[in-house]
Amino acid sequence: MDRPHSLGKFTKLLKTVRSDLKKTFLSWKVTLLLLALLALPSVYATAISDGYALFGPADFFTLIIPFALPLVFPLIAVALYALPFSNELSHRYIVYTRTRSNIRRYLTSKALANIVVAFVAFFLAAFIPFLWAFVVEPSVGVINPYRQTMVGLSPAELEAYPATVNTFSQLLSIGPWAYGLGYSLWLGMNGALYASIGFLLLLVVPNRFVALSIPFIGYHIANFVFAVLTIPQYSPAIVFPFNLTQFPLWVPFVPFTVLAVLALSLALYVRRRTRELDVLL
Amino acid sequence: MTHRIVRSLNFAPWHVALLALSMVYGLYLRQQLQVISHELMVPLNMWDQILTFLLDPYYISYLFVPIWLYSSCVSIQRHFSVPALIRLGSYRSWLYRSTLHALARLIPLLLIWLVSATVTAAGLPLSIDWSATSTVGNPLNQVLGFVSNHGIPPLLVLALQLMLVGLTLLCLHMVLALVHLLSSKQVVIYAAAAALFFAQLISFRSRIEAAPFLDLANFFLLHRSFTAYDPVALVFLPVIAVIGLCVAGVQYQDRRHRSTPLRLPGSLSTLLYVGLCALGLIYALAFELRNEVGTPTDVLFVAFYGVSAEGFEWNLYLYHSIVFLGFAYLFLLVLENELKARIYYVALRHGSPTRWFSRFILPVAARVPLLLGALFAGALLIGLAGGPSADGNALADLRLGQGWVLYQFFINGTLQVLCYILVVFVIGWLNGRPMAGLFALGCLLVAGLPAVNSARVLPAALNSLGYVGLGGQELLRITAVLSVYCLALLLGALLIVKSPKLFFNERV
Repeated sequence: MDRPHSLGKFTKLLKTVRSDLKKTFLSWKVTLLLLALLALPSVYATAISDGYALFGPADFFTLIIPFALPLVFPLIAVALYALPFSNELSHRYIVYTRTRSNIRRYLTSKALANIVVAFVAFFLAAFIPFLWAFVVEPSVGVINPYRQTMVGLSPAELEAYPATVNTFSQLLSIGPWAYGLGYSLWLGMNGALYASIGFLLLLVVPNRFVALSIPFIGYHIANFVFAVLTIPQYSPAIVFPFNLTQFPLWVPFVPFTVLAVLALSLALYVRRRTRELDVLL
Repeated sequence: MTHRIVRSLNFAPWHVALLALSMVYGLYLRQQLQVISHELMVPLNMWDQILTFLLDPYYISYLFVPIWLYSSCVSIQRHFSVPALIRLGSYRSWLYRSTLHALARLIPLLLIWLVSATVTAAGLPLSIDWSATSTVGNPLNQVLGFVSNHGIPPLLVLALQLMLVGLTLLCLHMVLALVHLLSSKQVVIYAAAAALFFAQLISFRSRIEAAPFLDLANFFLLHRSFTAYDPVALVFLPVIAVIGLCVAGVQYQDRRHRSTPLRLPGSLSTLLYVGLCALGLIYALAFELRNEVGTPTDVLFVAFYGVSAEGFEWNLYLYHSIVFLGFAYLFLLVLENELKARIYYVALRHGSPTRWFSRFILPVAARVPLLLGALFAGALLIGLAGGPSADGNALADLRLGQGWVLYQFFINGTLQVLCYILVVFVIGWLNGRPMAGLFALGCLLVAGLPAVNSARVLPAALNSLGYVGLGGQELLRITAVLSVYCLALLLGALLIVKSPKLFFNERV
């Protein structure tokens, strides 16, 4: 008896999320603009690829990704949804909303929308370059041919070489799609995580600017401290593992788990004290 | 108030007695030194006497420390009164004031120590270098033989020893003051002082190698610090950490006793910022230079290398950004306060928006050279901790000349940070939200990458010392570029401030 009821509640929640996203993101104009922005790095990397001796699509893929994204990744994650949401807070929109709807459900739907937006954006930020490097470009052939030899490697070793370069390129030994989907999922998950931390901090920290800047500032400080401690593989920057040697696949999940636990505890705190949160008053 | 306390450095009668006692002890030490020099058959110079005295464990542990602890207890109890607390407003200000009093007590004591060491060295040959006796490694002459082996001139050893002892004693005073604040019982503070006294006595006798920060003697005797900490500058970190803990403890006490705590906005972020700056300098010495320093500016050069025309190293660029863009972020935190729609009142109080602007921006601009000076001094100080480089000059090929390094660091550095601040101000103000300023910082972070800024026309990371390799002509061009940006941004800022429509922009 309980089940249909909670199921109904859940579908209702999803409906709210959908209508919320429809208002901002699901218009044709915005979608086209976002896709164009996401395709830009691929175009740029193709243009500069002449200056590099690339040894395969995986190498080309890493040329597209790490351009500037690692430096501003948390800032973008927060800017997608949490920043517009912060305006709702400052315009006291929520104060009026909570009189006519359940505030907890409202916040949950906002948090879900935030996760969806950030996940999709960052998933595509890796998946579009993947499609370009592995599917479109080989059939079109815009860039120079890949190099066929490498000093000190036999042809068989060269075949296996791309799978040993970075963390996550282990997935290449299963197949290119495993790599593309795996890394895109990973980037999407991290984007959603940083966006959620920013979103939850907005509800906890009274100063909205400080709340939104913490993910960005904290990310860089943590990266620097972990670099100083000479364990860069555990720093948050392992989201983009391309300038490091290969580590086992569980290594990047260490900082991810720590941040996920942080986000979950923030979420629990917000959930337990929703009615007393100062920022919603 | 500070200068009044410092002016009251009066010498009490017991200082004379202490001086006499120190002199007698100094003469005794000199006699022993003469015996050693006679046995080793090598000549002495003044540093043997002065440094032997300053590094003498018996003098420190049986005379200096007990006198200090006792006088600290008396002073803390005398100055801890309800009227004083009401006048000062918070426990924290009381602690600062008490520490200032302690400083006024400390300086005469250190002077007595130094004077008696110098006077009893009278007659020995003057020199700026180590004597033959001190460089001989011999069981008779363990301490000086050990210290002189580190390639640091004796004058610096003297300065470091005095700094270390002074800082440690101030730290002990703060610990006692905190104990008194928390307990406010006479017996507790004396018991704490006695415990500290016995702890340092035990620690002088036997060292705790597993945990050098628990070994009190490491913070009184430089030769002990040399064994416990490498580089030796690290010895100051635990002391500073304890001082920080004391301040934090007092803050906590303040908060407990007050319904509306007085909090300095951003003090935590400033503390974090200073800590990160220091961490980067230590990192540059320990990991990038492997503790080998050829010239005094090596640490500075490596720490602020930033980007070069060829490319960048992640860690160095990150540190460069944390220091310079971090400063702009701290400014943004202050700006955020102003953006909160209180500007009408502020402008009224200051007479005109332009006057408000000059009063707002000038103190920040004045802090930029101060920041650079402090970073420079920090880099020099940390550089002292490193040993000589194996090939004499680790970075000779990278360096064009010390003069250009300093030019790039100070002149272009000042212009660059001013640019950052003005960019943040203009964009933050036009948009009305501080987040816009943060996005500007993010864009500057990307714009500083050599791949983006290959023509070096964007005002980002142009003060990287990596660009020194391009030659003086290029550095002058960078100065010109940055000056143009600074002027343009200043003009923009003034236009915003002068135009009521933009200045009183309706904001959230």
